[in-house]
Amino acid sequence: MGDEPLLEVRDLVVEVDTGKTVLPVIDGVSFILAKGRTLGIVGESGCGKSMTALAVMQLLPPGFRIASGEIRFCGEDLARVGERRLRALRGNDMSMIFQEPMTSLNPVYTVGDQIGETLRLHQRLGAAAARQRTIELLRSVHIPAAERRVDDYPHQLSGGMRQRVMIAMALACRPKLIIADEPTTALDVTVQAQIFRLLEELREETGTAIILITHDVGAVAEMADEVAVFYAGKRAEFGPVDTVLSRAAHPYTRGLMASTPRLRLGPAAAGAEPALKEIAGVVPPLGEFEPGCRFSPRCPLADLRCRDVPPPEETVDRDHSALCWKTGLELVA
Amino acid sequence: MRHAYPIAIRLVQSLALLVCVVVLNFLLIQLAPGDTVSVIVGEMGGASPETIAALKAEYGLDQSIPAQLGIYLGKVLTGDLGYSHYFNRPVLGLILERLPATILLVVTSLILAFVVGTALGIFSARRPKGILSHFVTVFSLAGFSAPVFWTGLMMLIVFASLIPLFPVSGMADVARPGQGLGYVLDVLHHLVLPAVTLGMIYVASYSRLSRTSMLDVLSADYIRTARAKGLPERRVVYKHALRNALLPVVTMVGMEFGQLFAGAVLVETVFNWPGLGRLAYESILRRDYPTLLAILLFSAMLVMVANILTDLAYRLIDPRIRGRGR
Repeated sequence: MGDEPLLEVRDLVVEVDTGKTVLPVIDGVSFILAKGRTLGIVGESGCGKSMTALAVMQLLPPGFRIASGEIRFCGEDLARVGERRLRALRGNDMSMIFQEPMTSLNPVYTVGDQIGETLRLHQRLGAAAARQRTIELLRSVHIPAAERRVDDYPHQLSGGMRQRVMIAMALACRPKLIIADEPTTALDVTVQAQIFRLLEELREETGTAIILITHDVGAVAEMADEVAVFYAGKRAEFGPVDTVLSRAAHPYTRGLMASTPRLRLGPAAAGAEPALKEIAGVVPPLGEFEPGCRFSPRCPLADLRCRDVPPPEETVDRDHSALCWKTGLELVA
Repeated sequence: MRHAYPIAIRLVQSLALLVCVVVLNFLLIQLAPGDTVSVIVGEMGGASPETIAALKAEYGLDQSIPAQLGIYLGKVLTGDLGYSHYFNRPVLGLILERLPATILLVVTSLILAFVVGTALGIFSARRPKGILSHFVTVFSLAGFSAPVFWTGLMMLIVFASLIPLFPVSGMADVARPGQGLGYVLDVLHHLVLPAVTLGMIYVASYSRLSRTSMLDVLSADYIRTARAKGLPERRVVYKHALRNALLPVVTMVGMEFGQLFAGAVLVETVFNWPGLGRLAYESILRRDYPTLLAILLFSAMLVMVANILTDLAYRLIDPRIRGRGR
């Protein structure tokens, strides 16, 4: 497994123009993803996970823009390559699986047409070849009777099946990077497990790198090599998945894991309380952050310095760092 | 044919509705003051009570209203729509002669409005803050509020009188030969102003609707998916967005067809277009009840046909409707 970086995000700042003010949604986020590796991004809703994904794809919604920072994909700075080059990369070298399989497929075209479209566009396949390849792709995501399902419209498929179609679409051109943005949030728990297993299986087969954005710390523990914990537009903690999950340095990460019902890694789940814990309070609204650490109002360890002075990027271990003043302290709850 | 069954159901429903329309129209006419005989007598300059009684007996007006309705329904079912005392000929022939002109006018306006309206709406949706977008907003407001007869008169003043590009009235030049390519071109030349006038209000309405609908669709998740595939913007817009954006417009076209027909009455009167609308206007003025009833029947039929066509179009565009069509 080569360690040459496939994707390098450095000091990314994404702003939203609300008409009145300009607020940063993502504030100086960095991470590196090597070829064939899986990066998990976890955090509460609204902490900038999806925006990071859309920024990498250069598909930010209207009103959002990249204010500064770099996104290097195979050495190219995506913010500067131009729309034409981006179109050649999207769907071909990097692709995305969205959160809502119910609305992410076009209701008026067959799934075969929507998958085949990518193949015809990027690989210049003819109609018959694209169809053949589409059926193979549907089989590879375990859709039964693929040769019939290829002519189905999205409304004829269940949510899980639609997400499989989305995955097949993302895989169509064997991309180097797949961004899966909460791919299972809208699905049943049993189906969630199937989808994760499928992603895992496909990664092993194709060697594609994956960015897995999720709430599910358990899934990250199983699938990811590295994990980035996001809080309020900042990267709170980053490191190899077993280190971060077993020796979490940021109080937020610890809280997140304590509030996860089915964590499969041993030491972090020790204590085995019967009741599910939660992190007190809510994420403050955009633009109403403390001058210091953004987590300080909810942090059990926070003191005056935490509230007033932004915390430094503290290296806990090799490759493992946290944005916190208190990385040395054990959480005594 | 998976469309056949639901369409058959629609046909049966439409026929039942048509019978209701015929009965209702008949009863409405009964409510209006005066009858055919009083009109004839009025034109004769008066008559003795005996003559009036004889005429009433001849037209069946001495019988009870239910009996009259029975006779009327029976005749309509056999295709006998009565006799026009004003035009002095059978109503059916009169209507069939005028029908093509109206269909030509209405269908041309509809196509014009649909094509121009949606094109304007879609172009402006792609740049919601651009000049075209503002133009569409203002134009649609103006087009929507201007009455059809006023627009018609303005068209006449500007394009037939000040700049005499188009003929003032009628459907064809009397001096020209009545057949061949020359005739077709002549009719098209006459068609321009009435069709534009009638279509204007719908251009306004469709451009507004398609603009909103397109803006809505362009922010949908599946459009983001299409962009994430690396599709060029025009394919995103014209393949993935357009078909979805058209759905509400198609519904609107079907629903507004009846109004379009009502608009045709005004336009045909202003431009002296020899269609059903002008016939309706004349028969109301002359209290030519058999003709009026027959026109109402035919317009109801046209609206129903339009609705069935809309249904069919909707099925073709939206597979979700197709699936439920049982």
